Amino acid sequence: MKKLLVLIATALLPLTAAAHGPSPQKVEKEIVIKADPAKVWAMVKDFGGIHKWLPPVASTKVETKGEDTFRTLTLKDGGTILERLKSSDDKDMKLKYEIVEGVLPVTNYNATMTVKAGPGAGETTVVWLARFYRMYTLNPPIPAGQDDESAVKAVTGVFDAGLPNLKKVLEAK
Amino acid sequence: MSFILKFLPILLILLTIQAGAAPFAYITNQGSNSVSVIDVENNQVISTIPVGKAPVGVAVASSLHRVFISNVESQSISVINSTTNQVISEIVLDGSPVGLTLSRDEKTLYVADWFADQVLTIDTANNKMLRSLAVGKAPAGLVESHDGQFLLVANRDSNDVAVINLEQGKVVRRIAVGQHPFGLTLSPNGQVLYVVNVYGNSLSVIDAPFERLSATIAVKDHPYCVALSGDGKTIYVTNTGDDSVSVIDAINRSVTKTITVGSVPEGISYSNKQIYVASWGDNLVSVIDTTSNKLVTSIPTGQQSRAFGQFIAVAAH
Repeated sequence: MKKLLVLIATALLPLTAAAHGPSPQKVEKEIVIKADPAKVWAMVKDFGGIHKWLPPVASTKVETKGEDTFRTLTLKDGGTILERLKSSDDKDMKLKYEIVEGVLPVTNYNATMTVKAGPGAGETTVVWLARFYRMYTLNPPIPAGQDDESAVKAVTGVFDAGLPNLKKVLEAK
Repeated sequence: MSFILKFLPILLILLTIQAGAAPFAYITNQGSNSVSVIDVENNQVISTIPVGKAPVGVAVASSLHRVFISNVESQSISVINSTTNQVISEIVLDGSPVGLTLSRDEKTLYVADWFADQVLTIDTANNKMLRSLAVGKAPAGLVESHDGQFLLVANRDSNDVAVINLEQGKVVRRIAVGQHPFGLTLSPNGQVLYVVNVYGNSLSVIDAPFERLSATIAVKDHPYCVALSGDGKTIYVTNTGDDSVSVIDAINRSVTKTITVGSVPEGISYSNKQIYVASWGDNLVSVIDTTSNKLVTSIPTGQQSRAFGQFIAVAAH
């Protein structure tokens, strides 16, 4: 009976529970775009316009609550991801945001997109770095689909879909 | 007497060498499953040591010539001989080790067991488990008080610091701090405990005898770890979400400067007028000169450097 109660209590824990595994996971990707850094930064920092270059996203809705800016990404398969803008720095061309909740199998997800001039003349490099934890926040054994590997795979999929298309969109302009 | 006099110069030379020997920084690389050893005299990596899976915590036992590394994913502690820079044994645990610290006499290694809400104690003479001490949820950083009476533990998911009376082997009080305390350290004189609150974006200050919160200082986004200058007058806090280090005046407890460092800075330690910061995002160690409070160099290490804990031996005491 006691065991059952524990199980029920565990099942009732909100998915956004603060606890997480001990090892943050990392996905970092970069791409070189033949375009002016200012032009690339303008597209990257457009918080409500990510659907213009990230293929899985059908639409983006921006909302502000107090001093916070949020965006809801509606994916082409119907799932949603709610994200909060943490900072947008025009001087360093750096955008930081976090996932509040959503369909990706991750927790405590924070990402930075950095735009830098180079390596060649007329070229710009975009670096996309994410730090996050797996879905499963309790001790091992870890259920399939909620482990580090699944979390990394999902985020890698988003980045690999996004950066080449960001390049394509910007170079077509 | 004449015997002592005869050997006194040699003794003095030996003592001088001991005190003047440059220490080393031991940087855990989570993604490379290795430890980078940095000679802090010239800021060069002199060795890279393979360890267990996802290494995070570090504790340096300088008199034993041992360095302990917690491998959270392989659930073990790698024991490094710091004379040869080789792993000489692996302590397998029934737990998930994160934070590590040593007793002042280096006879006991304390291990924060993340999922089991306890601290494990290991005898450094034979690497055998001595006992387990129950604490709060998700214990992270930990340190022994200078009088050896208490072990102070940050309970990340309980938002407090547990004060364990080591003689009694139990928690005697819990001090509420900010949201999600992670890294902590004592001032060089042992009189002030500093605790970093990851979600609270703040630093909690607890003065000895560690009974209540004394002050809270706001820092930047998702701070992680804390270190002090050798004189204890300046506090340095890594901000993982802001890619920076907050510089705080320890006397009037206010932020004086924020220094940009390698991305996602985690572990931080002081040695010989320099602050070493492990950059998880950029796979390097940023070095700050404490005289100018400027970034002076970056040392490439391994993938996802963490270096959680006091990763450079404290000067001889």
